[in-house]
Amino acid sequence: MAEAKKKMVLVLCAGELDRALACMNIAVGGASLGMEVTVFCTFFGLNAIRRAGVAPAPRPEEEPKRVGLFGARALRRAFAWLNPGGGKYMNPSRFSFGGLGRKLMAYLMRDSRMANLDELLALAAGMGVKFIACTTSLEALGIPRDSLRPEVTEFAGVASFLAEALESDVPLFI
Amino acid sequence: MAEKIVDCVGLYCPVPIAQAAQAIQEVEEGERITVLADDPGVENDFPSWCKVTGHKLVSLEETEEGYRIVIERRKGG
Repeated sequence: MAEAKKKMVLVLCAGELDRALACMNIAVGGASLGMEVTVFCTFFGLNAIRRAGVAPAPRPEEEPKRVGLFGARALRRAFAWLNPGGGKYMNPSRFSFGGLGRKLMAYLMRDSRMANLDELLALAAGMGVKFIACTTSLEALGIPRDSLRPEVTEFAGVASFLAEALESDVPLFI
Repeated sequence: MAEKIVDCVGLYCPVPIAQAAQAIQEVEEGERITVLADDPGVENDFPSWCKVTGHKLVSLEETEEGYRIVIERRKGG
Protein backbone atom coordinates (compact mmCIF):
# COMPACT_ATOMS: atom_id res chain seq x y z
CA MET A 1 0.00 0.00 0.00
CA ALA A 2 2.36 2.65 -1.20
CA GLU A 3 -0.24 5.25 -2.26
CA ALA A 4 -2.38 7.43 -0.04
CA LYS A 5 -3.64 5.83 3.13
CA LYS A 6 -6.97 4.04 2.94
CA LYS A 7 -9.66 5.47 5.17
CA MET A 8 -12.29 3.89 7.36
CA VAL A 9 -15.05 5.59 9.26
CA LEU A 10 -17.10 3.80 11.89
CA VAL A 11 -20.33 4.99 13.47
CA LEU A 12 -20.97 3.54 16.89
CA CYS A 13 -24.62 4.25 17.57
CA ALA A 14 -25.60 1.60 20.10
CA GLY A 15 -24.70 1.16 23.74
CA GLU A 16 -24.44 -2.60 23.73
CA LEU A 17 -21.15 -4.09 24.81
CA ASP A 18 -20.87 -6.56 21.94
CA ARG A 19 -21.37 -3.85 19.33
CA ALA A 20 -18.86 -1.57 21.02
CA LEU A 21 -16.32 -4.39 21.21
CA ALA A 22 -16.79 -5.13 17.51
CA CYS A 23 -16.32 -1.43 16.74
CA MET A 24 -13.07 -1.14 18.73
CA ASN A 25 -11.82 -4.42 17.30
CA ILE A 26 -12.36 -3.22 13.74
CA ALA A 27 -10.82 0.15 14.57
CA VAL A 28 -7.65 -1.47 15.93
CA GLY A 29 -7.58 -3.82 12.94
CA GLY A 30 -7.88 -0.89 10.53
CA ALA A 31 -5.06 0.98 12.23
CA SER A 32 -2.95 -2.19 12.13
CA LEU A 33 -3.55 -2.41 8.41
CA GLY A 34 -2.23 1.10 8.03
CA MET A 35 -5.63 2.73 7.55
CA GLU A 36 -6.70 6.12 8.81
CA VAL A 37 -9.58 5.33 11.15
CA THR A 38 -12.25 7.61 12.60
CA VAL A 39 -14.90 6.49 15.08
CA PHE A 40 -18.01 8.65 15.41
CA CYS A 41 -19.89 7.96 18.60
CA THR A 42 -23.51 8.95 18.81
CA PHE A 43 -26.48 8.28 21.13
CA PHE A 44 -25.76 5.34 23.43
CA GLY A 45 -22.59 4.61 21.51
CA LEU A 46 -21.22 7.56 23.47
CA ASN A 47 -21.16 5.37 26.56
CA ALA A 48 -18.14 3.58 25.13
CA ILE A 49 -16.06 6.76 25.20
CA ARG A 50 -17.20 8.04 28.59
CA ARG A 51 -15.28 7.79 31.80
CA ALA A 52 -16.68 5.08 34.02
CA GLY A 53 -19.60 6.01 36.21
CA VAL A 54 -22.32 8.61 36.48
CA ALA A 55 -21.40 11.97 34.99
CA PRO A 56 -21.43 14.90 37.42
CA ALA A 57 -24.24 17.39 36.93
CA PRO A 58 -23.20 20.37 34.83
CA ARG A 59 -22.83 23.58 36.81
CA PRO A 60 -25.69 26.00 36.11
CA GLU A 61 -23.42 28.39 34.19
CA GLU A 62 -22.29 25.51 31.97
CA GLU A 63 -25.77 24.49 31.02
CA PRO A 64 -26.95 25.46 27.58
CA LYS A 65 -30.10 27.51 27.13
CA ARG A 66 -33.15 25.44 27.88
CA VAL A 67 -36.87 25.96 27.92
CA GLY A 68 -36.99 25.11 31.59
CA LEU A 69 -39.85 22.65 31.53
CA PHE A 70 -41.17 21.53 34.87
CA GLY A 71 -39.05 18.76 36.40
CA ALA A 72 -36.67 18.55 33.43
CA ARG A 73 -33.56 19.04 35.54
CA ALA A 74 -34.49 16.26 37.97
CA LEU A 75 -35.48 14.00 35.10
CA ARG A 76 -32.15 14.60 33.40
CA ARG A 77 -30.28 13.70 36.59
CA ALA A 78 -32.36 10.55 36.98
CA PHE A 79 -31.56 9.64 33.41
CA ALA A 80 -27.84 10.25 33.92
CA TRP A 81 -27.97 7.99 36.95
CA LEU A 82 -29.70 5.26 34.92
CA ASN A 83 -27.21 5.62 32.09
CA PRO A 84 -23.69 5.49 33.51
CA GLY A 85 -20.77 5.63 31.09
CA GLY A 86 -17.79 3.42 30.45
CA GLY A 87 -17.25 -0.09 29.16
CA LYS A 88 -17.78 -1.75 32.48
CA TYR A 89 -21.38 -0.52 32.65
CA MET A 90 -22.30 -1.60 29.12
CA ASN A 91 -24.60 -4.60 28.88
CA PRO A 92 -24.39 -7.28 26.21
CA SER A 93 -27.25 -7.31 23.69
CA ARG A 94 -28.38 -10.69 24.96
CA PHE A 95 -28.36 -12.21 28.43
CA SER A 96 -28.06 -8.90 30.16
CA PHE A 97 -29.85 -10.28 33.27
CA GLY A 98 -30.40 -6.82 34.65
CA GLY A 99 -26.68 -6.00 34.77
CA LEU A 100 -25.38 -9.41 35.81
CA GLY A 101 -24.71 -10.40 32.20
CA ARG A 102 -22.00 -7.81 31.69
CA LYS A 103 -20.22 -9.05 34.82
CA LEU A 104 -20.39 -12.63 33.64
CA MET A 105 -19.10 -11.61 30.23
CA ALA A 106 -16.26 -9.59 31.75
CA TYR A 107 -15.41 -12.58 33.91
CA LEU A 108 -15.27 -14.91 30.92
CA MET A 109 -13.27 -12.45 28.85
CA ARG A 110 -10.80 -11.98 31.68
CA ASP A 111 -10.50 -15.74 32.02
CA SER A 112 -9.63 -15.98 28.33
CA ARG A 113 -7.28 -12.98 28.66
CA MET A 114 -9.24 -11.08 26.04
CA ALA A 115 -8.79 -7.34 25.91
CA ASN A 116 -11.74 -5.47 27.43
CA LEU A 117 -13.43 -2.49 25.85
CA ASP A 118 -11.36 0.17 27.64
CA GLU A 119 -8.09 -1.57 26.76
CA LEU A 120 -9.08 -1.85 23.11
CA LEU A 121 -10.07 1.80 23.06
CA ALA A 122 -6.74 2.86 24.54
CA LEU A 123 -4.91 0.64 22.07
CA ALA A 124 -6.88 2.10 19.16
CA ALA A 125 -6.22 5.67 20.28
CA GLY A 126 -2.53 4.87 20.72
CA MET A 127 -2.46 3.68 17.11
CA GLY A 128 -3.90 6.94 15.88
CA VAL A 129 -7.62 6.16 15.73
CA LYS A 130 -9.59 9.38 16.02
CA PHE A 131 -12.65 9.49 18.29
CA ILE A 132 -15.37 12.03 17.63
CA ALA A 133 -18.37 12.65 19.87
CA CYS A 134 -21.70 13.77 18.42
CA THR A 135 -22.62 17.06 20.05
CA THR A 136 -26.37 16.68 19.62
CA SER A 137 -26.41 13.33 21.38
CA LEU A 138 -24.24 14.65 24.19
CA GLU A 139 -26.81 17.34 24.77
CA ALA A 140 -29.80 15.03 24.39
CA LEU A 141 -28.43 12.51 26.87
CA GLY A 142 -27.13 15.17 29.26
CA ILE A 143 -23.51 14.03 29.03
CA PRO A 144 -21.02 16.79 29.86
CA ARG A 145 -18.02 16.98 27.54
CA ASP A 146 -15.54 16.78 30.36
CA SER A 147 -16.91 13.39 31.41
CA LEU A 148 -15.62 11.85 28.18
CA ARG A 149 -12.39 9.95 28.03
CA PRO A 150 -9.27 11.89 27.03
CA GLU A 151 -9.03 9.90 23.77
CA VAL A 152 -11.97 11.91 22.45
CA THR A 153 -10.43 14.79 20.59
CA GLU A 154 -13.22 16.21 18.50
CA PHE A 155 -16.86 17.19 18.77
CA ALA A 156 -18.90 17.35 15.63
CA GLY A 157 -22.15 16.68 13.83
CA VAL A 158 -23.52 14.94 10.79
CA ALA A 159 -21.80 17.09 8.18
CA SER A 160 -18.38 16.24 9.56
CA PHE A 161 -19.29 12.58 9.54
CA LEU A 162 -20.51 12.76 5.95
CA ALA A 163 -17.45 14.68 4.83
CA GLU A 164 -15.31 11.88 6.25
CA ALA A 165 -17.61 9.16 4.92
CA LEU A 166 -17.41 10.57 1.38
CA GLU A 167 -13.65 10.18 1.43
CA SER A 168 -13.76 6.87 3.19
CA ASP A 169 -13.03 3.50 1.60
CA VAL A 170 -14.81 1.60 4.37
CA PRO A 171 -17.76 3.32 6.05
CA LEU A 172 -19.51 1.15 8.63
CA PHE A 173 -22.52 1.75 10.83
CA ILE A 174 -22.41 -0.32 13.99
CA MET B 1 20.89 -10.16 13.08
CA ALA B 2 18.83 -10.47 16.23
CA GLU B 3 15.20 -10.89 15.28
CA LYS B 4 12.58 -8.96 17.11
CA ILE B 5 10.19 -11.31 18.93
CA VAL B 6 6.57 -10.30 19.52
CA ASP B 7 5.04 -12.66 22.05
CA CYS B 8 1.26 -12.70 21.69
CA VAL B 9 0.59 -16.10 23.20
CA GLY B 10 -2.69 -15.95 25.08
CA LEU B 11 -3.85 -12.79 23.33
CA TYR B 12 -6.79 -12.54 20.98
CA CYS B 13 -7.67 -10.72 17.82
CA PRO B 14 -7.01 -7.86 17.16
CA VAL B 15 -4.11 -7.63 19.62
CA PRO B 16 -1.57 -9.85 17.78
CA ILE B 17 -2.06 -7.88 14.55
CA ALA B 18 -1.88 -4.59 16.42
CA GLN B 19 1.32 -5.55 18.21
CA ALA B 20 2.87 -6.77 14.97
CA ALA B 21 1.91 -3.50 13.28
CA GLN B 22 3.65 -1.56 16.03
CA ALA B 23 6.70 -3.83 16.13
CA ILE B 24 7.30 -3.73 12.39
CA GLN B 25 7.67 0.04 12.60
CA GLU B 26 10.58 -0.44 14.96
CA VAL B 27 12.72 -2.41 12.51
CA GLU B 28 14.41 -1.29 9.33
CA GLU B 29 13.29 -2.21 5.85
CA GLY B 30 14.39 -5.74 5.03
CA GLU B 31 14.59 -6.75 8.69
CA ARG B 32 12.30 -9.33 10.21
CA ILE B 33 10.05 -9.75 13.19
CA THR B 34 8.82 -13.02 14.65
CA VAL B 35 5.33 -13.21 16.09
CA LEU B 36 4.35 -15.97 18.50
CA ALA B 37 0.60 -16.41 18.91
CA ASP B 38 -1.97 -19.06 19.74
CA ASP B 39 -5.20 -17.47 18.55
CA PRO B 40 -6.17 -19.70 15.57
CA GLY B 41 -7.37 -16.57 13.74
CA VAL B 42 -3.78 -15.55 13.04
CA GLU B 43 -3.49 -18.32 10.46
CA ASN B 44 -5.65 -16.29 8.12
CA ASP B 45 -5.13 -12.86 9.62
CA PHE B 46 -1.40 -12.52 9.12
CA PRO B 47 -1.47 -13.42 5.40
CA SER B 48 -4.27 -10.83 5.00
CA TRP B 49 -2.37 -8.24 6.99
CA CYS B 50 0.72 -8.77 4.85
CA LYS B 51 -1.33 -8.58 1.65
CA VAL B 52 -2.76 -5.19 2.64
CA THR B 53 0.34 -3.63 4.18
CA GLY B 54 2.81 -5.01 1.65
CA HIS B 55 5.11 -6.64 4.19
CA LYS B 56 6.44 -10.07 3.27
CA LEU B 57 5.15 -13.15 5.04
CA VAL B 58 8.32 -15.21 5.24
CA SER B 59 6.83 -18.14 7.11
CA LEU B 60 3.83 -19.18 9.16
CA GLU B 61 4.18 -22.46 10.95
CA GLU B 62 2.23 -24.28 13.59
CA THR B 63 4.20 -25.08 16.69
CA GLU B 64 3.37 -26.83 19.93
CA GLU B 65 2.43 -23.54 21.56
CA GLY B 66 0.51 -22.18 18.61
CA TYR B 67 1.94 -20.32 15.66
CA ARG B 68 5.28 -18.85 14.74
CA ILE B 69 5.07 -16.17 12.08
CA VAL B 70 8.02 -14.43 10.48
CA ILE B 71 7.47 -11.17 8.65
CA GLU B 72 9.90 -9.02 6.73
CA ARG B 73 9.38 -5.30 6.62
CA ARG B 74 8.85 -3.90 3.16
CA LYS B 75 8.85 -0.38 1.88
CA GLY B 76 5.75 1.69 2.48
CA GLY B 77 4.11 -0.80 4.79
